[in-house]
Amino acid sequence: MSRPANIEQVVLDSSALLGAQRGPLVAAAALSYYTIFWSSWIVAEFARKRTEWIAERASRDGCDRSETRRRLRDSRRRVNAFIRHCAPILRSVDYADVATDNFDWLRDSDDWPIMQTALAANADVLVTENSADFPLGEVRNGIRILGSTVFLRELFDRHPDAESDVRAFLASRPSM
Amino acid sequence: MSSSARFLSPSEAAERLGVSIPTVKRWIERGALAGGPMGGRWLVAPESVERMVRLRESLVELDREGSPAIAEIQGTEQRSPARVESPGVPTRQH
Repeated sequence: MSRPANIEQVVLDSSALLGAQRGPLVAAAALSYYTIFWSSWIVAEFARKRTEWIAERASRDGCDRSETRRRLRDSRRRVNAFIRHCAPILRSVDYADVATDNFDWLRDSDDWPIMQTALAANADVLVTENSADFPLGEVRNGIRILGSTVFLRELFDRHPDAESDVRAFLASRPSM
Repeated sequence: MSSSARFLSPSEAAERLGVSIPTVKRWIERGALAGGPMGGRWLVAPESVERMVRLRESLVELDREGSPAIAEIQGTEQRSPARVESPGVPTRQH
């Protein structure tokens, strides 16, 4: 019987951090069920894409300039707090020097730093919601690529306490 | 003041975190919280509790603002009314 693939060292790209599974993904890492790696590229892309989404949503909602600026200001505060409080949990790696020789399967060179981050981290898995550019469920450059939901299911299957711990973490009501 | 006065009891940590005492002890054993049994009783490092509280608060704050749908993340969204995905925890398969 083959050994199950490791899921201990994991890179979350900006799409995974932007998506609705961000909470369980980060909570499971905070509870030491696996280790998340990220890079300056991923942090910057997360902040930029979240800001763009807030601005687009304000435009769709018909917000005037003042309301749009208020939303952007609030969002910046939330994103900064998230990054600051993730910093002790997520490990940063330097991706810049990782060779890009075998990235011809990645059509968008803006995605190269994601794979470079995964290689620099010696990651078992890259978690992404970007199925347009990353083949979910397949292995590229020695790294398994999974969507957030599949990754979390695999993690919960492997660690019987993980799901209830993540729920407890996210549902907790800390005292003031 | 004894050295242990700088630490929290599992009960105090549980109250601060809003979880049960067994959960606090399990999180210590996992290494997610700093602490452990010392001199016959469990002690919890308050910094690790506060770190966890702040991380959770930052996640809640972002969730309160919403998250883009996968189609939006992929940049393939049509110009339809905004759809905001609700956070949720996937369940185990087995």
